[in-house]
Amino acid sequence: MNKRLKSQETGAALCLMVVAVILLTLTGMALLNLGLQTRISAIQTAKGIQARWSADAGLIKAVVEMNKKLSAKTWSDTSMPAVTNEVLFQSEQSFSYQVDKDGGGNYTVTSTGMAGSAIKRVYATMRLKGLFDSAILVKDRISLMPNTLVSGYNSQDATDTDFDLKIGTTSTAAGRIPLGPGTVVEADVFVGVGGNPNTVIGAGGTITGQKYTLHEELDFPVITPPSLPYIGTALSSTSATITLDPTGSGTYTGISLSQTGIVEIKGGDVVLYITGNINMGNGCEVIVRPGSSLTLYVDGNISADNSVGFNNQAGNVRDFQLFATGTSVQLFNMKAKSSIFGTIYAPDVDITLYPSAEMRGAIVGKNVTFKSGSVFYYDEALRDNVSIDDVGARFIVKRWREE
Amino acid sequence: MKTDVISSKREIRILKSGRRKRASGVNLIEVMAVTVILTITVVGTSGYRYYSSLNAHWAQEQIAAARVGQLFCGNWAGVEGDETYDPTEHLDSDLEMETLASPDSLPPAFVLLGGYRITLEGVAYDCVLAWKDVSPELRALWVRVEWDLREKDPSNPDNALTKSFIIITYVPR
Repeated sequence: MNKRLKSQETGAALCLMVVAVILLTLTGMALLNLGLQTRISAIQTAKGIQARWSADAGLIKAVVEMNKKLSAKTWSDTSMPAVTNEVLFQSEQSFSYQVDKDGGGNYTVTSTGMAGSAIKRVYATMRLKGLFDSAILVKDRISLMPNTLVSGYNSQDATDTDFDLKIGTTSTAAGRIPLGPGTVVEADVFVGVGGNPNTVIGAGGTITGQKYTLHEELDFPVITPPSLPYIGTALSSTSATITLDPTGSGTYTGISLSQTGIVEIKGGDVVLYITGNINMGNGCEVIVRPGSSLTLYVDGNISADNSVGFNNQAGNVRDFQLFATGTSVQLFNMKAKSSIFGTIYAPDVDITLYPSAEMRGAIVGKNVTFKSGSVFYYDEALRDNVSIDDVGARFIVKRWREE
Repeated sequence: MKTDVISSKREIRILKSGRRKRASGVNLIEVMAVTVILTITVVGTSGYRYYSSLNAHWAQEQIAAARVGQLFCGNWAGVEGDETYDPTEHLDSDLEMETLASPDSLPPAFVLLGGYRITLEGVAYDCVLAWKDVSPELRALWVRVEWDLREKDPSNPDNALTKSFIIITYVPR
C-alpha cells in the first residue's frame, strides 16, 4: 500500500527512469567491454602463436649453431651459442636463446620467442647422435647370405646382455632385405617410410625382433675430410712395410700394396685422406697396432685380393673408421685374414664384406652384402657413448617442453 | 456552524481535486520525458551490443586467420620447408581451398611457394607461402594470411578493410 502511494508521488517515474538508464548504460558498457575483451584476447592469441613460432625458430637456429661448432671442431663448454633479441626479417617476431650444460652433463637450450607483448619459451634437452644408431643401415639393399648371424654386444659394459639393435633400409622396394637360409637376425628390422615390411623384407631366415616401417626419413650427414697436409703421392709398398705414426697423417693419392706389402699404423691416431683408390694384393694388410687408431677418408674404390684386409689388432671398433667421401660411384670390397673391427660410413657405396671370422662395429652403406657364413656384431657403445669429438656427431633434440 | 463545516470540507475536496489534476499533468510530461530518454538509452545500448557483436566477429576472424596460418606453417615445417610442398595435396581433403594467382608483394629475397584461398564460414582467407635459405643449414618460412574485415563492394573496392597475419620461422635444411 505504501509502495503504491509512493509510486504515485511526483517524480517517481523520473527516479525509475534514472535507474533504468543506469542499468541499461551499465549493460551496454558491459557488452562493449565484452566485445573489446574478446578482440584483445584474439589479438593476444594471435601474438602468442607468432611468439611460439619465434621460439621454435630460436631453437632450430640454436641447434644449427651448435652443430656448426661441432663440425668445425670449435665446440667449447665455455663459449656456447647464445643470441639476444634477434629479429626475424624486420617483423615484430624476435627470439633469444642460450645453451647451458646441466649438472648431469646434458646440454639444454632455452629459446624465448617474442611477438608484441606475447612471450613463449621452449626448453629442449639435447643429445649427441652419432652416425651409427643402427647396426646396419642402407639406402637400398642388405643381402644376408645363408647362415649369417647379426647380433650385438656392448664394449663399454660387459654385463649388458639385453641388446637393443636394429638393421634396416630407407628403401620401400620389394625384396630389399633378402635373408638366406639359416640366417639369424637378433635385431629389429625396419623399412623406409611408407614401405611394407612384409614385402621389403625377404621370407628366409629368422628375425627375433620386430619388423616395422620408419615414420620419418633418416638423414645421412655428409662427411667432409679434414684439412690435412698434402703429400701428393700414393702409399705404395711391394713386399715391404710402411710404418705411419701421427706425423704421417696427410692427404695421399692412393694406397697400393702388393706381394704382402703392409701399412702399419702405430704410435697414436693417424688420419689419412686417400683421394684415389686402395688396391691390396694377395696377403697385404693395413695393420692398426694396439694403442693407435686409423681414420680413413677415401674418395675412390677399395679392392682386395685373397687373404688381405684391415687388421685392427686391439679389437676396439673406434680404432678403425672408414669414411667414403668421393663424389662419383665407389665400391668397397673388404676382406680380412681374421676379424674386422671397425666402422664403415659410406651411404652411397656398394660394400661387400668377406670377414673370414667375424665383423664387429657398424655399417652404413648403399648396398651391403655379407658373404656366406658371416657373423656381425653391433657394438651398442657406438650409439650410447657418442662423444663430441666423434666424426659426424651432431646434436639433436632429445625432449622438449614449452610454456 | 454546521454549514461552515460542510463548506470548508467542500473547499478542501475542491482544493484536493485541483491539486490532483495538476499532479496528473506533470506525470504525463515525466512519462514523455522518460519515454524519450529510455528510447535514446535503448538505442544506445543496441549500438553497444552491435559493436560488441562486431568485435566478437572480428575476434573470431582474427583467431581463425591465426589458426589457418599456424596450420599452413606447421604443415610446411613438418616437411622441413620442402620447396615442392603442395598444401592442396596435404590439406585439400579437410578444407575448401583454391589456388591463387601470384601475390603482389613478398619480403626481399624470398621465393614464392604459392598462394591459396581458404574459405571458412563464408570468410575467405588468402594465404601466401614463401621461403628463403638464410644459410646452408637454415631455411626461413614466411606465411601470410589476409582477410577482409568488411566485405568488398565491387563498386568501391577501396572501401574494404584488409587485415593480415604473418608467421615467420626457421626449419633445418
